[in-house]
Amino acid sequence: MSLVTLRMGWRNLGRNMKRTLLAIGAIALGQLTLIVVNSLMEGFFQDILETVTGPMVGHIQIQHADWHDERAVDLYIDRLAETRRTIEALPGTVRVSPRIVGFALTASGEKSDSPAEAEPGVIAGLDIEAETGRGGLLEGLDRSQWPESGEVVVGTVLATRLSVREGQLIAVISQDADGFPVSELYTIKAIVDSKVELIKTLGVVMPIEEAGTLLVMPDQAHELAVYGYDFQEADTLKASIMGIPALKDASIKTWREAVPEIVMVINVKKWFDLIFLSIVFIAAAAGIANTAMMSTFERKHEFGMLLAMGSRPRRIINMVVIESVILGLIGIVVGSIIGIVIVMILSRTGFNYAALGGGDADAAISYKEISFSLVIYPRLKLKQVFYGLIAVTLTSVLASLWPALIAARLEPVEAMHRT
Amino acid sequence: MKALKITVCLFVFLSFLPIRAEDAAPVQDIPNFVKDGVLDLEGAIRYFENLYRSGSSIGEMEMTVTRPRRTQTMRMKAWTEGEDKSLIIVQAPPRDAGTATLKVDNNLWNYMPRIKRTVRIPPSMMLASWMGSDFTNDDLVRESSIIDDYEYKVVGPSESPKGWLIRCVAKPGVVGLWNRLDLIVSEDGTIPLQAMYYDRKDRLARTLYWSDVKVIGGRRLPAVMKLVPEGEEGNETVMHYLDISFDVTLPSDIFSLSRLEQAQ
Repeated sequence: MSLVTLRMGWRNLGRNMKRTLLAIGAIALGQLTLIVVNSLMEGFFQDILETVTGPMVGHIQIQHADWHDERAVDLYIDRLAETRRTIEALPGTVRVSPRIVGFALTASGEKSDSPAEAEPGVIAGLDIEAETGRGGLLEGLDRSQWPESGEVVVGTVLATRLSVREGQLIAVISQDADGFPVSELYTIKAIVDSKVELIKTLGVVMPIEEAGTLLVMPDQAHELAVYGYDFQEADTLKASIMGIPALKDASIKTWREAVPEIVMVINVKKWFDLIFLSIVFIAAAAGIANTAMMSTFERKHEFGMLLAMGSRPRRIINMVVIESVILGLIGIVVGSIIGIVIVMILSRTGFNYAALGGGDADAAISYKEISFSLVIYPRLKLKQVFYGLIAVTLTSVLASLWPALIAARLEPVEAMHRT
Repeated sequence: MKALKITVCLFVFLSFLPIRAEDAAPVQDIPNFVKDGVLDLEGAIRYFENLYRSGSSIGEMEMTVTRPRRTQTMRMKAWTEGEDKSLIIVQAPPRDAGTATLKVDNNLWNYMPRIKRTVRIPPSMMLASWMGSDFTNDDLVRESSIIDDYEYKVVGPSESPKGWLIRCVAKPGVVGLWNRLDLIVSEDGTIPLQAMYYDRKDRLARTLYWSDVKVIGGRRLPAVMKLVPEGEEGNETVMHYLDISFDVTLPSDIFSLSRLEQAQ
């Protein structure tokens, strides 16, 4: 393919500016849609994935075999310190977060004339230092808000229900691991939001030692969240944890096994990606095929002339195809630039689904113990731009081949004979 | 539907307990509900229901809760008025002394001396354990009667324990925890021996055993009640009634929140 062919293709595009711009617009719109929608989805699902493999389940979740069904306080992993050390010693382990979970009645601990109305709550005994780190249940909690002995951090929803504020007392009434009643007053160090529904709506978070004292579980925990280097490698880590004799009766699940419904939802995203890619394909194909077809038929006379002057049909094909490819590429570049700019803006401001529906900007929906924010911060993946590029290039070639072949097969005399 | 009052309602159970020795009334005549080898069902059920009823009472009891790792005994004192009002205060061990439960109608409040706070139990916690026992909060507040809430019939003689098996099936439309109650009463039909509770899916959920029949407060009654939940090995709760004053005059403010909190 010579440079002349390339130049001729380029010039031909300028011959009917309106049509060219329309075609470019259609392709650009397709690419823009692909980038924006897929980035929004990526942002939404990445958020879910990070919540699941971060605070919620971790990469691996270890619990008593019956915990999932009953969640009774006496269904714990025993000899916590030793078990934790053993897991931490495994080559694939980055961190182990033990958690104590106890169902409780909570009430405002402030003195008042009438008895406090109690609300159900959940005691979450956590390794505060580990959980405030990246991917922890209390990620981002400022060190000044860490609960210490005698202190708790309360989920926003529970705090609202109990009408309690930071610095006030909260009464926690529960049963210890043997089922006997226990009660204690704690000072509320902070009120926190969380992506994990349980913490947000019911959580009374305290240091694990404090929960262990209250519930008489000095060396026990209900759950161990184990983190490896990469959550995609959870199966390998699980296999080595399963080899620990002390955990032979425990339930050991990877995040995929722990929340299969969410994994399923995430998998659905792949299909959406494909659907949008198809839309771009079709938009591009329609635009390009139409443009190529029209300009080919308009220029029958020219092609006839070229052929008569000795042009080889191959060159005609190249010319028509190159014209379309240039058209497609311009569309893609324009669409990509606009799309990337939109995504960059949205990734700062967030895209508020709730506001679209006329709802509260802070709205969130929850599903399977995860709270999904309706403000989405899109994440751009270059691979999406690239897919669009490949798709449109391929489409341009395919869509223009037919008119190109028609042009190449013209009978020169007949074609030159204007009607 | 409502659960069976006598078996589940501790307060009511308390109310039947005996008067003190010094003012003891003569033991009532013990009826016999078996004539010609047939149990007089209506008579026996009515007797059973009324066995525990009283205008007011003051009682003392000991509750032993057994768990796989630990056993704990609490001594309590209880005041009741009719079926609607009761107050239970833990007296021992020292760790739990002063812990109190007040029931007025369908409301339940707990006072915890450790945190010096009274908390009203929300409806969502009604099925939670009461004082760490196998009884639930619901058992305390629920008032129900076999006569009103169940359709009952004699199945026949029971071998173990020896007596009569009475099957009570919840009337259609009655909302409650239990679908069916199999009650075994003694051979003369006057003493409850055992009750098996079946949940809404008709699975055995728990069994209540009565034993240690004594004359208390002028009535001949079992002084010990043992509740064994199904499928929870090593768990049981035994309520042992030590003493009861019956039809006593109670201070008018006894069933109040202020009394709940001072009631050490």
